[in-house]
Formats: sequence, C-alpha cells, structure tokens
Amino acid sequence: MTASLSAPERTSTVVDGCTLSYLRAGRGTPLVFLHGEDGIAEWTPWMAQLAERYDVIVPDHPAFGGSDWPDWLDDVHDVAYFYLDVFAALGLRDIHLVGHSLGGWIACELAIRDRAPLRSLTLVASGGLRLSGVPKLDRFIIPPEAVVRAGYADAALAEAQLAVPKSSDDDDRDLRNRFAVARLQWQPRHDLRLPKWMHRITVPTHVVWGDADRIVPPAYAAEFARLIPGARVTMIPNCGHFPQTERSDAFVRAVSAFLEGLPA
Amino acid sequence: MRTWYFSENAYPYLPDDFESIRVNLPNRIFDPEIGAELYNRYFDEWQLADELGLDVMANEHHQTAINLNACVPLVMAVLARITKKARLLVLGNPVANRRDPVRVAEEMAMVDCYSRGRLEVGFVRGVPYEISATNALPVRTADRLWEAHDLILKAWTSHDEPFNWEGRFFHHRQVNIWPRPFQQPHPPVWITSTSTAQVARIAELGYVAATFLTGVTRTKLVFDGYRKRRSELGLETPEDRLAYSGMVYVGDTDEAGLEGARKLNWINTANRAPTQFKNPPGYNTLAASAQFMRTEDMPFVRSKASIEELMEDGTIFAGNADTVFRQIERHYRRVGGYGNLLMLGQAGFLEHDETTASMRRFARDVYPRLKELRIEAAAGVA
Repeated sequence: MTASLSAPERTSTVVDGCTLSYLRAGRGTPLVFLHGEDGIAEWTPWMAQLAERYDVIVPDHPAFGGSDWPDWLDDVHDVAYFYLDVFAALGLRDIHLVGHSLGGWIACELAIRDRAPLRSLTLVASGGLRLSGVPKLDRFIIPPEAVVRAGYADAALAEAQLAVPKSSDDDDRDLRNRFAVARLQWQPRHDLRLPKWMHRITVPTHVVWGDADRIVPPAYAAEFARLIPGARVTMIPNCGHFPQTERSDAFVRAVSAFLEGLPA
Repeated sequence: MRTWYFSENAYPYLPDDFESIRVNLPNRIFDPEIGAELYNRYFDEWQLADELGLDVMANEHHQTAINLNACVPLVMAVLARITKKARLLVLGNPVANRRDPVRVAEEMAMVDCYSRGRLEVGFVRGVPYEISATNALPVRTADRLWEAHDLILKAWTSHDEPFNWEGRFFHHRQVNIWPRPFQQPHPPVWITSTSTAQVARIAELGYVAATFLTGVTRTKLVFDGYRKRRSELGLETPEDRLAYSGMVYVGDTDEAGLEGARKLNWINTANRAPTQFKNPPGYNTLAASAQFMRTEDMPFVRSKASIEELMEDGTIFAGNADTVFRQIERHYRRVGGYGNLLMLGQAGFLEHDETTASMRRFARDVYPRLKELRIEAAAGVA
C-alpha cells in the first residue's frame, strides 16, 4: 500500500480530444490537485500523505507536462470547462478541489461555473484576482532565476533548486510549461470579472497562504476570503509562494484538518 | 538588382555599463536635443540616397536605443515628402503586435497617396523584444500576422461598401477606408521570413520575401524554399521576389572599409538584452527556444562572431568599391541570386560624413555593377 502511495504510475485519459496525463494514488473521496505555473515534476511526499486518506489525482493541465496542447486551448476559462468534462468522464463526485497559484485560478473559474461535482475548494497562494495597489510578481519581465528566488521565504531553498542540474528532458519540459503559462497568463494575468461571480462558490472554501509570499502577496488571501462566502483563511508563517514545498508538514496539517472538519 | 538604403536610426550615446538596450533602458538617457539632431540627420541621409538614385527603406522598433522609429508610418510620410524618385519600402509594419490592422491599412494608403504610388508595404512578425515592448501575446504571432494581412488587403481592395471583419484575433465593423491606396490594386507587398515554413505562403502570394543578416546558409534555405514552392505551382521566380539585407560600407581603401564595418557592427555588439526579452515563451518554436537556452543566441544570430567571420559569410560587405562588389557578387551566387539588396549603410557611431562618403562611393562605383548581375542557371531549386 505504502509503495504505491509513494510512487504511483502515470496514466492518461482522452477528453475533448485532448490527452490528459495524470498521477493518481490513494482511496476514498477524490482530491484533485491543480498545479501552478511550474507544473508537476514528480509525485511528492505531501501527495503521498494526503493519499493515505483520499484518492489523490494530480493532472498535468492541457499544454503542460505530458498532456496535449489542444487547438481549442485559448485561456483559463477553457481549462476550467475542460476539467468539468474530465470529472464527468472519470466519474468523479464530491471532489475536494485543491488549486495552487495558476491552479487556484482555474479552480475558482471551475467552481463558479458548476459546483455540482465539488465537495470543497482549497485555494493555495492562488492567482486569478487583481487587487488594486498590490501588484503580483510579473514573471515575464524578470529573468527565470529571479522568479525562483522570489518563490521562497528561505533563500537557501531557492539556491538549492537553482543548483540542481537539469537534464535536457527537464529543460524541455520546463520550456513547454513556460509556453503554456504564456498562453494562459501573458495578458491578462488575472480575470477582472471574477469578483463579480465569486459569490457563486457555495462549497466550503479554505484559503491557504504563506505569510512571506512575494509572488502573490498575502493581502490576496483576505481578498479571496472576502469574496467567497464563509471562506476560512490559514496563514502559514515563514513561508513563501509554495507552502506545499517550503512548509510541507504545516501545509498537509492545515489542508487535512479543514477537509476532516467538514460536515459529513 | 535594386538597392534600398536603410539605417536602424540608433541613439548610440549610452552609458558604458548598460545591461539591456531593449525594453527597459530608461528613457532619461535620451536627450531630446541630441535625439532631434539624430532624427533630422537620418532623414538627410535618406534624402541623399534618393538623390544618388538609390531606393530607401525604414523599419520600426519600440522602447530601444537601437532604433528610434517607434512609428514607421510617420517615417514613411516624411520620406514621401523629402524624396522624389526613390521607391519607399517599409519593412515592416509589425502587424502581429499592432492592435488595429485597419489603422495600418489607412496609414499605408495615405503614404501611398502622398508619394504618388512609390510605397512598398512590408509586414513583419517582429523580433522577440518587441513582444515585451508592445505587450503582445508571444504565442500565435504568425497567425495574427496573417489575419492582419488578410484584413489589410481586404480593406485596400474593397471599394463599393463597408464590410465587417469578425476574425479570430481582430474585429472591426464597417471597414471602408478613406483614402484608398494610390497603386492599384494595392502597393507591392513584402514579408520578412527566416523560416522555410513561412516562406512557402509568401511564395504562393508572389510577394517579395526578405531576410536580414542571415549570411549564406539560412538565406539560401529561405530563397530555395521560395523558389521550390513557386516551381511546384508551375511558376517562375523572378529575382526581384527575393531580398537580402547585409551591412555595407564602402571605403576608399579596404582598410577604411573594414573600419566602417567595425562601426556598423555596433548593431551586434550593443544588442544586449536579458533572457526574458530575447526569448519570450511561445515566440519561437520549442526547438528554437531550446537551442537558444543551450547557446544563448537566437537561431541564426551570431552575436559573438568576428568581423572577418561576418564578412566571409556575407553578413557584412566592406572594403573598397571593388572588394565590396566582389563580396556581394560572391554572396549573390552562393545563395542562388536575389534582386534586392537592403543596404544597412549606417549604424551606431558611424558619423554623417563617413556614412555619406560610403553612400556616394556605393552609388558611383558599386551599384552600376550590381545592376548587371545575373544568375546563368534557370530559376528553380539549385
């Protein structure tokens, strides 16, 4: 059991003419994790921990990683509708949807459109909003290394990541992911209409943020909570834009506590 | 062969330690007094080109000291008034980045009328830095270029009633431009290409295909691609369908020519920009981007090449008049011939008197011989 939880096989399905590549392990209520701009390199320990209690599904968004780049893909709205079709195709219901950064934006768009397949929503350092006077980091106007350095409260983590030698496969995957991010997020980098319709998100919502996030500043956490009825906020101390990596234990505890605390 | 004289119209007076000449070099560095002098001097040089019997060309770049012409239709309008005989080539309108193709159609129609039909209209995808400078989406630039082209051509050639355009990228109701172009059905069209995929479509339309500073190998690939496509359609390729841009300096001696070439090469040596501007994600293909990451150079750019290497490869033509003619002839033959030389005759710190001296020598001693150049073999794939 532990072996498969820690190293699940990659599998795929075809929906709307697009091959979706994903990792899946665990049993029980589905927990779908929608990744951020950096894609998914591998299954991580925090995913394995959540897979002890949930059926954890981690797809590569269309155009990212091992998934196709379909002709119909123009923007985040397309990805949201696509995932609704994916949930239907895989027969997923009562989903705990967890989205990080770009994945959080996708999750919001999805939850606004159709909450029926969802049991809860967890937004982790989520994109999608523009808060006047609180600029987000613009990853397209600074060098790639600067984006990595801005991602962590602990500078050593950033340097460690930059020091990892990358294979040319890694480089190709990263390049393809950067293309996909440009496709979805070059302009605009948010959806100005979201604030009008966030009140439609009537599933229990948890907003998780690092208090030292320099990519999407912590003020955004309060803004999401303001716009989504009944949302709860967990601020993780000494943590940058990647709570799941930088403060992994605190992240898993916070996410699990919220999910387990939901009424049956 | 026609020669089209051009300069990027730089503002070269920069601090020694500038990191990036594209997009984010602060405009405090631009001294308006000096800038005004430069603009007027560059116009004087274009006017001289006309007097010398050359044709002229201008282009457009944004947010950079390498090229002060942020709006090339303005340049063309001035050229229309200060030249008398020269054909006026704009290469080109960056229509993948401009938001309003109908406006481009109007601008070109106006200049064509001002000049009484001397305008030739180029469309370009634009170099990568322009993506950041104009905040255009880096993906699907070629698709946007072609849809803009289609809309512009329709605007130029529709005369009886307004039409609506509801395309994938552009929407415009009631298109009915006044004026319409002077030349009928429309001015000649040029499109820049460095890829064989793009050039096939240019060949089908019979437009002039132009390539810039691409030496021998890449130039030949593009030109052969054009000729091959035409051949597949049972059509010939007259030489005037192909255009090549190289740096040209004609000195009174070979040494003086080389000195001029070094000054022209400022275009390469000053062209510093960080990764995020040189290679915005989605602008190049994955393969080209990957190559860039490995070599730090855009495909076909050799920013670290020596003057001698650039001269050997036909990116720079420099020396006395005879030497320059022979270098151009050699390049011409190696790529299978072309009918248009886009002469980059001024750059960086090359002063007005140095520039005009080279232009005069070129016009007197090189151009007449270029006009005699012919390829003996039949047109088609070499």
